[in-house]
This record gives sequence, C-alpha cells and structure tokens, in this order.
Amino acid sequence: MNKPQGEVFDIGYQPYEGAREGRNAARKALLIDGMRTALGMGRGLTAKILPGLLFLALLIPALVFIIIASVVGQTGIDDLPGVADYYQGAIYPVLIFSAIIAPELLTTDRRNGVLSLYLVRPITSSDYIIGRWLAFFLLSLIVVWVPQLLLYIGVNLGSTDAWEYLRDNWDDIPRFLLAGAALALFTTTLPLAAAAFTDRRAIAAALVIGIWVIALAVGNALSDGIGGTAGAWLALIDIGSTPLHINDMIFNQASDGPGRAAEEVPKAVRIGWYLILVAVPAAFLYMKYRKVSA
Amino acid sequence: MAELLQAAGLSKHYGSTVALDSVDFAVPSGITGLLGPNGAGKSTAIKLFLGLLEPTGGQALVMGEEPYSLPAARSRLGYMPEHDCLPSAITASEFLTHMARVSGLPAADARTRAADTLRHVGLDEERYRSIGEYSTGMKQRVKLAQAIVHDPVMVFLDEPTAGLDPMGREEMLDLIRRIGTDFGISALVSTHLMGDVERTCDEILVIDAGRVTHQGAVKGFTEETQTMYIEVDDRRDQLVAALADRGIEANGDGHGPLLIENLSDDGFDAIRDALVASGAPLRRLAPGRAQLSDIFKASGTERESGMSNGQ
Amino acid sequence: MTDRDANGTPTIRVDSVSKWFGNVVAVNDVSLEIRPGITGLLGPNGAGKTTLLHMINGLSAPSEGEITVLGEPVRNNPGIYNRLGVMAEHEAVYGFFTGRAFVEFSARLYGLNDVPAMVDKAIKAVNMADAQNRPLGEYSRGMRQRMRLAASMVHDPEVMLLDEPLSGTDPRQRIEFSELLAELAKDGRTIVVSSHILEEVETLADSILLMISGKLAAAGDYRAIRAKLDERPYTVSVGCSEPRRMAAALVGLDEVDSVTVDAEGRVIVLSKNVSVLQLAVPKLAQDAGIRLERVEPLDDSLESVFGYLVDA
Repeated sequence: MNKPQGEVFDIGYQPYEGAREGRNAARKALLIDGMRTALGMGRGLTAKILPGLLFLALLIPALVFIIIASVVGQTGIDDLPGVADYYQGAIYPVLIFSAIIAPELLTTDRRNGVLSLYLVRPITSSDYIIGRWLAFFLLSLIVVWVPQLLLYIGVNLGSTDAWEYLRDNWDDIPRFLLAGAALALFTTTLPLAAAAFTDRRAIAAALVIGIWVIALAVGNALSDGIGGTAGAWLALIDIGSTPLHINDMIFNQASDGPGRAAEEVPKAVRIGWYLILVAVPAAFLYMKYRKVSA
Repeated sequence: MAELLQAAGLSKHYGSTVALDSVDFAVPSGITGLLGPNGAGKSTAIKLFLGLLEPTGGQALVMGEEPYSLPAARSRLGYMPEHDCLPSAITASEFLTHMARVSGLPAADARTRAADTLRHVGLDEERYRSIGEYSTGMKQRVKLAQAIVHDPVMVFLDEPTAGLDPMGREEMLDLIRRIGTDFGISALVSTHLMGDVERTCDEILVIDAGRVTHQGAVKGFTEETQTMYIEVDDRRDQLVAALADRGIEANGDGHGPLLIENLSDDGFDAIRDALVASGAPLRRLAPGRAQLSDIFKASGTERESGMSNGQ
Repeated sequence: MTDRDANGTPTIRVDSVSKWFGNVVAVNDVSLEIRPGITGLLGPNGAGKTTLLHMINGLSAPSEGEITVLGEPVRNNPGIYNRLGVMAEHEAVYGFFTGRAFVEFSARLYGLNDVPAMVDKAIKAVNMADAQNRPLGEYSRGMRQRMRLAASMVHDPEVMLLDEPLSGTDPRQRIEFSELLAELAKDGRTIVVSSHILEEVETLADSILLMISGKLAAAGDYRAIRAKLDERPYTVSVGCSEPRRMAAALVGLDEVDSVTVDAEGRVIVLSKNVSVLQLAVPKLAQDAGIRLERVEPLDDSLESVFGYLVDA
C-alpha cells in the first residue's frame, strides 16, 4: 500500500533573479504611466470625466461637419470649414484641455512626494521630465490629429468623387499633421512649464489660461486700437494665436482668426516667435527639473 | 563581511555650512542603525548614498560605484523616506507594479513581485484599495514595500516607525528584522529611538557635527557591567542586613534597586541565601547593562547647525 | 518615581465625559482624575487621546459630562490659561519669527509682567539659548519642538498638557527633555504627556492612562495594573547553574502553570501567582544547592501591559 504523499511549498520571500532592464524600460514605464495619468486611467471615474469631456468637445464638431458634408454634397463642401480652418476653432478646447490636465502630470507627484521615489531609481530627473513631457505631447497629438483625420475622411466621402478629391487634396494630410504637431508642441510645453511654479494644479491651470486670455485681450485691443504696422507687431502679444499663424502659413491661407493683424509681420519673425514661445518654457522646465533632488 | 556602502573622504558643503566633514566609514551587510542629532549630517549622508546629492569632496560609493553619476548603481538600492511620498488616487497594487517597472523589472515580473511584496509586508485584500484610504500603519507598509519590491541589496529606512502606535511600531520593527534575516536584504535604519535600534540592528553608526563619532556592533555598546542589580517587592532593609551578614555590601537609594559591585562567583549563593533568610520577594536579579543612550548622555556642546535641508 | 498624595484634590477631574462627531464616538463615557506628577496618556491611534486632551485644555466642549482643572471649569474661562500650558502635536509656526520672538509673543499673550526674564528662563530650561535669535524656519524639528515647549511653559503653568512633545527630537534632546519634565514635576506641577514611545513613558511617568476606542481601559501604576490582569500568567526567566533540576523543582509547585527551558539554558516559568514565585525561586534553589544567577521578569514592562490590554 502506498503511503499518502504531501508537500509544503515555500511561499516565503524569493530573491529576484530575473532580468533587470535598465533605463529605457524605466523611461517607457514612465511614458505609459504619464499617458494613463492624463487620461485618468486606473484612477476612478472622476479622473476620466475631464479628459473625456474635452475629447468629445473636439470630436463633435468634426462629426457634425462630416454629417453636414454628407448631406450637402459637393457644392456645399467648399463652404464648410475644412482641415485648414479646423484648428481655429479647435484651439480653444485644446488649450483648456492642456491647461487643466498637463499640470496634473507634474504637480501631483511633487505634492505627494512620489518624485523622491523616482529619483532613487535608475533614472535621472531629466528622464522624468522628458518622459512626462513626451507623454502629454503624444496624447495631444492624438487629440489634435484624430478629429482632423475624421474630418478629412468625412469630407472626402461626401464629395462626388472620393479618389479625385484625394488626388487634388492629398497635400492637406501632411499639412494638418504638421499644423497639429505645432499646436500640440505649444499646448504641451507652456502648461507644463507653468506647473513647475506651483504645486497646485488649479493654480497652474489658472495661470496658463489667464495668460492666454489676457494676451488675447491685450494683444488684439492694442493692435486694433493702434493699427498699421505697429498694430501688426503688437498683435504678436496674443501668444495663443501663434500656433494658428503656423497653421495658416502651412496651408498658405489668410488668417482670419484673432491675432490676424499680425499677418503683416514677416513669416520668419512669426516662426521665430513661435519657436521662442516653445523653447523658452521647455528650457526652463528642463533646468528646473535637473536640479531637483527630492 | 562585504562592505556595501563606503564613504571615502566624503564631504558635503552647503555654502559655508559643512554638513559632512571629510568622513570615512564603511557600512557592512546586515542591519545598521544610523544615529545622530538632527542637522548633524545624517540625512545628508543618506542622500549622498542614494545619489540624490552630489558630494562636494570625496566619494560616496555603493558597491563600488557612485550613485550620483551612475543611475544604474541605484537599481540595487531601496528608499523608505520619512516624509509622505505615496499617491492617493491609485491602489497599492498598481503603484507597486509601476515602481517595480521603473526599477527595471519586466512587466509580468513587476506584477507578480508587487503582489508578493505586498503580501510579505502584511497587506492582503487592502492592496486593491486606493492608498488614500489607508491608515498610517498601512501606508508605512506600502512605503516599505516599494523600497524592496525590486529585491535591492540595501534599503535606506528613514524613521520607519514615525507616527505609528506601539503595536504598529512593534510590527514594523519585526518586519525590518525579517527583511534582514529572512529576506537577506541589508538595511541602514536612520532613527532617533534607541528601542528601534536595539530591536533591529546589528551595528550602529553615529554621525555628529559632520563626523563619525561611534561605530561598531550594538552588542559592544550594550554589554553587561560588573554591577548586579537586585529588585525586591518588600523587606528591602532586611535583605540589606542579610547581605551584610554574609559580607556583601549593597547600595541603593530610597526604594530603588540594590546595587552590588564586583560580585565574586561565590557571591551568588550568598545572595540566594540572604533572600531566603530575609523573606524578601525577588522581582529581579540581573547584571547592569550599558545602554545605547549612554552614547548621548556624555555631555557635548550643542551642535545644532539648523539647516532646514539637513533634516 | 514621585510619591503621590492619593488623598489630595486631583488637579484634573474628568467626569463621565463623552464626545461624539456625528456617529463617531471619539470619547466614550470616560471618568478619571489626574494628580501632580507626570501622567502618561497612551493608546492606539484613534483611541481618543487627542480628543480628550482638547477637551481638558478647553479647546473643545464635551458632548456630555464635565471637566474641571484646578477646581475650575475649562470652558468659558480664559483665566485658566494663566495656569495651564498646552503643546499640541502638530503646530504651524511662522518661519520668520526668531525663536525668542516666538516665546516672547507667547509670554505677551499670557500677559506676563516681566517678559524678558520669564522668556530667558523658559529658553534656558529647554537649552536653546544659543539659537534663540535665529528664525524658526532655520530650526531642525527637534529645535522647534523645544521652542514650542518653551512657549507653552513661559508663564510657569501649574498644569501642562503635552501631545507627543518628543516627536522628531534626537536622542540627546530626548534625554534632556525627559530630565526637564522630571524637574518640573518635582516642583509639584501636573504634567500630562501623550506618547507612543512606551519605553520612555515607563521611566518618565508616575502613572498612566490607557485609552482604547474612546474608553478608559486602565489607569494608575502600570505594575499594579499588571497585577490585576489575572488571566495573564507572569513570565519569568531564571538563569542558574543547573536549569533542568531547577525546572523540575519549579514544575512541582502548584502555583506554576508551565516551565520550559530555552535555547540559552534559561528556565522560563509561567505563573499566575507571582508573589509565591518570588519567594519560591530562591528557596528551591537553596534547597537543591543550585546557584541562582539571574531572575528577570519578561512581561513586566509597560509595553507588555499595553499589549495585553489592547489585545483583550
């Protein structure tokens, strides 16, 4: 007769003998975590509301235009806002989306002290800030490209000959991709830089939105009031419209949004101004985080 | 014993303030207590070994490498800060997994080790609840868990029992002891409580005014003395007399314990007989013992340098 | 340990006091008396210690019951604060104040006459004279704690309520603090200290108050409390020249519950009747000709008592 068998398994602490992947894996983890945080994933329902609402705010106009396009047919299409004009309206939800959500990626970690825990791992503080920036930038790209893509396809389908439309307007695609990227670059960097000033997300958001709104008001008021070439240059104060200038330059069209007076200013200057508005906050952000030592 | 941490001529200056003054010491494997007055260089030393600060002079080496300039050197280190450092909106499980990944563990391993580590620190179903809902004791456990999830060689624990009530403190100290003995992880425990050191540490290192003032095995600082202490619940005077009858001088003030110096081996029997003869109920008979706190009782000039970032 | 006059009037009297916040009963029908000397207030987190202290210092009103300090009610009685000093667990202080200015501010609030002298005395007592002219923002935690203590005692109060006063202080400061408190108590003051560090309370306090879940679970001298825990046998470790024979002798006593010999050769005895054991051990050793080298109670500490009470 066989003796009954029994075994006890060791579920105590086991040392880890597996792979240790190094900096790139850590950066990737940070990137994914950054994107998830911004979207509110894994953080309950309330955290998802804001990103969800804003994404809808961007999608809905695109969808509406598509529906209208399919109804009015070829003749009406040219009158509808197309990919070239989309950002003129979409910029506001994107600005708000970024101002409110981007700081979340930085302020929460500072406020609850998690940053110290990152810094004692095999990454550097520049890895951290680049990872956070990249996370939001990629998310913003998705946010600004998807509606444009839908709009483009929708309008395309609405036209009488889709292939002909595509052949004639294929260059719209790289244009809106570039314009979207320019917008995303702008709306990612400024809010994150603002978040470096304060630990409270609401203050960072208020700071950024405040700056944009004031710049809009002051810039346009001055430029309308003074007029002429001086007025054109003064319109550059409306920094929020800088991505729109880039958009218009890419699509080679006249500006007719706010800050349009600045159209007179030479292209090189406007491009330079845009680059300054992106590079300076970026540099500031980078320098601020390089010195952090928990 | 292998030297895990090494300070070689290590200095750190903040402007004109000298936090560490060209110190040399080595921390072996095992559990070492780091003691010293506030603002005297303790936290600075920890931050230098974690790579959070750059030395002004000399080197802080972790297993031979410099953690400040070489991020990879930090992969075998863990840190349990004193301050709050946990997010409140996510679950312990998710947080640990994320931290494990940032420490370089592949996704699947990160997940399983996170779950195992939380179990080992005593968090069971709670690990699926948001950290924001946790008590202080549970949060301390999560802090400890993220410090060991990647199986480090050494962890730095800064005031691990702060804010815990007596039972919580007891459990945390047991956990720390287990980390050393069962998990095979070395630890540097920075604390102000001698009780914490006595219960967990094999060695101590004392940093005062930027210098190392004491270092060595705990046992060396808590040796038994030559003095015998006797505590009785009653008939104390009768006992003193009975001892004197047998040629033993017992001193003591008021109602405190009786002290007998330089007892010979035969003296024990005399004590025993004196106890029986006097009918004094014996509460305690034991040699005196040096205390860790004696290190700090020796008078020294006040060394508060008052740096707010030296805390 | 100071002898206490058990027949004198208690300094602090808490009479059937309860405090609730909505459904949460933080303090549940507590009655106690506190006399001069140092009393340790202990208990797990959330036991109601801080709530109780807030009621004793008049910051919050009991939902039920009465509290008197030095014979007077604490509520609606600003005058009582001339004789009462309070140090809360967490306190924000203005970083730009110098330490001295902070204590002076406190002294003025108490309406003291000779502010400089009283301030000097308080600062000297906490050993902060060297750093008194630096801003609080530059102090380490331990230094801040000491200045806060100075500020809470600058008016030389008769009664002091201290919530975790040693929190954040380093070993030397802890020793000095404890010595200071012992000095103050010797002069007849009534000091209540709430703390989680039991080994310190054990040496510092003359008596303890233990709260569990809002109720008063025990009060008095911890050894006397231990004696009342009938269901817990005392554990005593005996070191001697012949452990096995000693063990055999001990197990023969009716009053002994169990005897074991540990890895180091010590005989571990459990007995509910410690007084019988205290006389029996030397006697049995003598009868058997065994050399008695060491007798140590293992669960005689405040920590063991605390553990037993909380577990119950």
